[in-house]
This record gives sequence, structure tokens and C-alpha cells, in this order.
Amino acid sequence: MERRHPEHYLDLLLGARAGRLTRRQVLTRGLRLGLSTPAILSLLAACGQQEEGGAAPAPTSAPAAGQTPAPGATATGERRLSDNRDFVVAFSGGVPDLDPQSAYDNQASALFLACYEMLIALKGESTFEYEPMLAREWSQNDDLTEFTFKLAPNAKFHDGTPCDAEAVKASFVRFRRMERGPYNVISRFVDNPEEQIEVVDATTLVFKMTKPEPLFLAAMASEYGPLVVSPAAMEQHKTADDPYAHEWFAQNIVGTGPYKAVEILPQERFVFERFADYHSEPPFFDRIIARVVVEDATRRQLMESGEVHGCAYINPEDLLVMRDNPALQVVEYDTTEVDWIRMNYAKLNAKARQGFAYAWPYQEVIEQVLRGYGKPINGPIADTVIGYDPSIPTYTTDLEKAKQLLTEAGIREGDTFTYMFATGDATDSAMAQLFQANLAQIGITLELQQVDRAALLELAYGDSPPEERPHFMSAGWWPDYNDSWNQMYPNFHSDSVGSKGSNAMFYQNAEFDRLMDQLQVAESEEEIRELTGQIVKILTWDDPAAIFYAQIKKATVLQADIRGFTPNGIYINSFPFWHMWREAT
Amino acid sequence: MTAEPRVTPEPQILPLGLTERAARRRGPLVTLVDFARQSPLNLLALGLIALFVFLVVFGGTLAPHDPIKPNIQLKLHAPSSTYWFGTDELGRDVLSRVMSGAKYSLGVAVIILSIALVIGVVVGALAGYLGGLADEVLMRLTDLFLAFPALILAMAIAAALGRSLQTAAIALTAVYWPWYARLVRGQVLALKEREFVEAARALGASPGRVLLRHILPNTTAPVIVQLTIDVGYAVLATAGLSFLGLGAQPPTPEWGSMIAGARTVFREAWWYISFPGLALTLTVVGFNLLGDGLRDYIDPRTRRRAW
Repeated sequence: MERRHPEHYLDLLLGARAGRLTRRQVLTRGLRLGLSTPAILSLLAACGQQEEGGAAPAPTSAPAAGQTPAPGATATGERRLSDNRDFVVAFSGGVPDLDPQSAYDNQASALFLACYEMLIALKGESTFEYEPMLAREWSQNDDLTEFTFKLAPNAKFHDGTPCDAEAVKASFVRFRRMERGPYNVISRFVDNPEEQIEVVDATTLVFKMTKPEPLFLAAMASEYGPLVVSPAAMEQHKTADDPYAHEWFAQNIVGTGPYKAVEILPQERFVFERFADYHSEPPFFDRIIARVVVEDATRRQLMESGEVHGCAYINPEDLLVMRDNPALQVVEYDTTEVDWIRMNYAKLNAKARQGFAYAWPYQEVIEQVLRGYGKPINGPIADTVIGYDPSIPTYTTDLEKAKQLLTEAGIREGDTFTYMFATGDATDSAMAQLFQANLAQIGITLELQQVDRAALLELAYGDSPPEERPHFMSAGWWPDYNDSWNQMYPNFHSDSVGSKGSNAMFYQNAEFDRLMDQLQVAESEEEIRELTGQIVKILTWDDPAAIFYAQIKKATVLQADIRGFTPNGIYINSFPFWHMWREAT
Repeated sequence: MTAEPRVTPEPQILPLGLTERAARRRGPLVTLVDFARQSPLNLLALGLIALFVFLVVFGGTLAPHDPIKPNIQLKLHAPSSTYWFGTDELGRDVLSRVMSGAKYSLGVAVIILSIALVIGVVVGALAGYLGGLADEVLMRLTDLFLAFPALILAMAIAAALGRSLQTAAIALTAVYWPWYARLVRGQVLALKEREFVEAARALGASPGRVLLRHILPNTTAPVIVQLTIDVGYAVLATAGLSFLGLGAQPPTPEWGSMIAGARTVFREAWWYISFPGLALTLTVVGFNLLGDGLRDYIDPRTRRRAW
């Protein structure tokens, strides 16, 4: 049999383009070469699979799977540092808005932890214990109305200006007054920043509350919003139309973090180098490189080839395979994220929404689509969040009950409903088709519509009326800090409809709003738990807002030699770059 | 009233030097056999097309399993005696989906080209025959469509009209008709000055009759060749739009959307991406070979001895 070489393909291509070969000759030769290609690819794929599952030799440079040290620990008990000081992380999409007091997206916040700082950060896996970041010490008075932060005395911004108490105050004033993105993280506690934030001396700052605020420290440790930006840069780049220099900060980075941006290509990659004047212990890695890799399969391939050292965006199907790869460590952790299917409040009455909730394929989705990276949940509050009430029942699939409720709601067999999801989202597509099959069994037609992710986000967070929106859209959310109010307010409060928040299906229930307003000012854990229970019952049973189908378990994949990574159920998909290092092998 | 005498068309497009009357006497079956004997590739092309046309008509009925209903417990099972092509991410039989998908991928392509052909022939014939202002207006309109890259134009139209197989078909029709308009106009321009057309005109035939009876029949050969080759490309374009989420929506077993669904798991489930891909490849190759063979068959300059 004739051997195939790449030059044959090239000859064929060049011959055809130069007109040396007739169409028939191109087809004839192409048929010989081309037809064998799928077969060869298939064989290679099959062989590759056998190798992975079969007698693949264990890499000598990494510990065997069973001996992989726990995250944060070393294999030997001592630090043997590697000479490779680059850490490459893969993101699944670009970060168009780099202003940390405006961007409200997960990948942006993961990026910000390399270059910006909050006053304090969550410690390890805890969601209520803190460690120093820009503040070295902090304290509060007994009635939780005053919070004092003592800053690092030598802190500087990447532009060389000092980060003293005045600068921090100016940054928080900007965050509150600009009123963009996650500003509810500060506005809940501070309405008048000029008055409520007091500079005691160059390194001491006091936040004065108008009432006891047990969650203020938790909010200050959020990775969404309370990050400190350079006031000098703001002054330099502000304009009459843009007094907070948001346009400039959307494309530039000037923080106090351990890494300084040296290359910013928002849709391709970000390169950070260690900041020489960092106020604390220098981090291990010289460079952090964040690459935007859109395709799921490519991210996995880059992790397996070792070109990328960490990735939090790996689909469940791939995670199952990567768990068995001794060159990688898959760090799994429980989160505060709950995923749900939004139901159009304007198009579906309460009985219809209850009926659809019974038609959802809960078990199939958790076991076969999420592949165990999720568990049943009884509402929007994860069992790791304050206010979770285990006494509220959880929906299970019951098509008889669904049909009965849908009939009572006035829905007849043959009626058609729409479910919209982002093109290329394999998980959402699979869930939607399982839901569609369940509804088909009771005579309901579910039409699936794919749209670009950007168009879907525009629809969800834009101003189009609910009548122009589909009946169903998927969503997932976790709180900015460990708090049930913060989880529900942007998604279901009537103040948050359309572009004012994430209430994309215009859920509006007066009783829910009233209880939420009480929850916002709750002063004890018992009160929070009591009110959250009542609210969740409304959202799931009395007047359902969504089909709450799973509390999500996440996984971050790292090369086996990476140490110091500790996952946190609030800092989902993020990396504590300042703690991480690579062990010599 | 004088009867219009019959004007014999140009003989050069007839296969194997036969006269038109002789060719007609042979019947389509004999012509088909003759075509197949011209080259093994012709036979292969006919075989492939027969297979896929069969699947378009009977694929859905003969599919061994339900191509739509998920059976999640059987998710991504490798090919076996029960599921010859394995199962997909929702446990559906890939063979059944490939068989049922023929009518979406190939059937839609045929419909697209049929409509594009009718529009293109009407526009091209009118522009070529009438000339002058009509030619200018119609051809500038055609140029307008041709000015955009085909797939980009199709994507824009499909995205604007909403995502479904129907809108993808409309979008691709808008992309294909100008090519036929150009082709037919060129043919009409060349033919309308020929002697047999002049003769028909001199004998009093109306412009419509001259166009329909004497000119258009002589444009069929290049149009058929182009059409045959375009079927392959239209199948690819339809699959391409579905792959991008602009065509068939789940759970429609269109080949392009199957490949899109399979790409995230292709390393674990090689069968899932391979079989719809193979079906797509064979369909395109089949129609390309047929188009190429037809061109040789009806062009005496490239005629060859039967094997």
C-alpha cells in the first residue's frame, strides 16, 4: 500500500490551485487520501483511548495518583522549589471589562486576584475566617457598627503612588458612587462613603455603620467589587463625562496586588509579572499568564500536554477522565453555587411553574449530565450558605403531578414552549433535551433555541420586555459573600428586573420583596435563618421563580507539581496566586 | 397561420455523439448504465448517491431505534451488535440518527438548490435575453448578493431570521441563486445570437417561445453539472450552519449538529463524531464525482471509452 505523506496533500493542493490537475484528478487523488483520513483519525482516537486506560507509563516527574499530596501540602514535608516560575492558567472566555469595581463576572474576578487586593481575604476553605491582604490587622466594636482596618505601611500601587488610608477611602468612594456592577456589596452597608469612612491616620481606616452589620467583614472579603484601585490613576484619566475614569480602568490595571500587568489582550491573554514593590512576602511565581481558550476540548488538551498549569473550566465529562491522569491533580470542592432554570414569570402562572418544576429530570441531570458534580437542592440557597433550611422539601420528577398541574394551569396538550441556551453549551443542551423528552411524554412541546452566548447575556441582562423572552433559560449563581440575601436579591427582587440586576424573567412577588427587605437588615443568624426559610418556600413552592436543580460541586485541575492551592466555596474558579508554588521534581 | 418549424438544437451536448432522437430512444436506464460504464468513479458516485437517496426516503422508517428519544443510561456506549454506530451523549443510537439525518442534510440541500435554480434561471434568462436596462438592474442585484462571502451572508441571514433549519434553507437559497443567474445569463447571451435562434425568430416565434423552447433547453447541460456539484457544497453549508447553531436545533438529527454535539466528547467517543462525519464526506464526494462524471460524459472533448 502506498505510504501517505503530508507532502501528498500539499502536492494535491498546490496542483489544484495551479491548475496542473483537473478536477477529476483532484477528486480521484483526494478520494484516496481524504477517505482514509476519518478512518485514520478514528483509529488514532481509539488507540489513544486504549493507551490512556491501559498500560500508560506513570510519569517519573509526578507522584502516583494515590500519593498525590493534599492541596497546600508538600509530598515530603519540605519545600523543594522548582526553577520553573511561570504559572499558566486557561480561561474559557475573554475579560472585556477590567475595572474591578464594575466587572461582575467570574473570570474577571479570578484575574483580579493576581493584580488587585481587597482589604482582607477569606482564609483557606473557610467562608467566615479571614486573612490579611491589604490590611494587616482589623477589628470591630462589640455592637458591630465600627470596623477598623490597619493597612500595610509600605503598600504601593503599580504606578508607584502610595496606597495609604486616604487612597483606600478614595477607592471605596469611587466604588460606592460609581454604582456599577457589584456595588450592592458596598451600598448595603455604606450609603454615604464620604461620611462613613474615616481616615484616622496614614495607615488606619474606620468604616462606621448606621446599624449592626454582622456581614460587613464577609462583604469586604468578596472578590466582587471591594478591590482597591489607584486614585492617582483615576485623577489622571478621568474626564468630564467619565469622572471615575471607568473607561480607562476597563482597559488598564493599576492595583496593589502581587503582580503587575505587562500585556493585556482582553480576548486572548494577559501577562502579569511579579510587582517588585509588593508590600508583603513576594509570591513564588515570576509570571502569571492567563490564556483565553474558548474550546472545552482544547483546554483539556493543553492541561494534558502540560502547556497550561491550571484550569477551573473543565466540563464534567472530561474531569472524569482527567481524575485518572497521574500528571494532573483534580481538586474537587463543595461550593455555594446553585444552578437553576429561570421560568418566565409574565408568561407562566404559578401552577404552570409548579407543573414544569415536577417535569424536570432531576436525577438524570445530576447523575448523567453533571456526572456527580452536583447534588439535589431545595431552593436557591446552598447548604453551605447561612440561612439554608433543610426542612423545605425538594422537588423530584413526577410527570403525573406535572400533567395535573399544567392542566389546571390551562395548558393543553400540543402547546409549545421555548427553552433558550448558548450555542456550544453541551451541558445545557443535554439538560434541555432531557427536559424536552419528559415534557413530550405528557404532550407538551418544548422548542429549543440556541443563541450566541453574548446574545443570550444581552437578552438576560438587557431591557427587552418579558413577553419577548423565552419561557425557560438556565442560570447559575453564588453569593458575593456568604449571605442568603446577597444570593437572592439580584436574581428575584423586583428592584432587579431586566438590566437592573439578574432578575431576567421578571419575577415579582410582593410578599417576597417584603421579606427580603426584612432580611437585608436582619441582625442575627437566627433571624437570617428564619426569614430565609420563609423566602425560599415562596421561591420554590408557593410561587416558583425557577427550577432549582442542583447545588454545584466544582473542580479545579492543576499540574501535579503545583502546591499551595486551596479551593474556597465563595472564590469559585479563582486561584490564590500569592500562596501557590511549584515543587521541584 | 403558419406552423413554426422545429429547429434542432446544437448536437454537441449529446452523449457519445448520438443524435437527440437516438438518445431519447435509448431510455434513461440505458443512459445510466452507459454513464456508469464510463468510469469506476461514475459507478461509485451513483452507488453513493443511490444509498443516500434511499436514506432520505426510507432512513427514518428503517432506523433500528428512536433517533430522538434520549435513553441517558446508555450514554456514549461504544459500537456493539445492538448499536452498530454506538450511542451519543444522551444514549441515542448514532446509526438511527445518521439514517434519519439524511433527509435533513441532503433533503434540505436539494430543496435549497431547487428553489435557487428556479430563481436563478428566471433572473438569468430574463437578463440575458432582454439585455439593456433589465440586464443591468438584474445583474447589479445579483452582484450585490455575490459581493458578500457566501457563508458569512448565509450566517447573517440565518441569524437575522431566527435559528432553524427553515431559515438556514432560506439563507442558503439566497446565497446560491445568483450563481445560477450568472451561469444561465452567460449561456443565454451566447445562444441568442446563434443561427437556430435567429431562424426561429425569423419564422415568427414569439420572444417567450424562443426563450423557452429554443434557448433554455440548451442551457441545461452546464446547469445540471453545476447543480450536481453544488448539492455537495449545499449539504456542507447546511451542516456548517447547523454546526454553528444557526440551522437545525436539537434534537433534530442533522449531521452538522450531531458533529457539533460530538466535538466535546470526541476523545472518549470517537464513533459519535466519525459516523456523521463519514456520512457527510461520502455524500459530498458522491455528488462531486457525479458532477465531474456528468461533465465528462456530456462533453465530447473529454469523452472516453467505456471500461
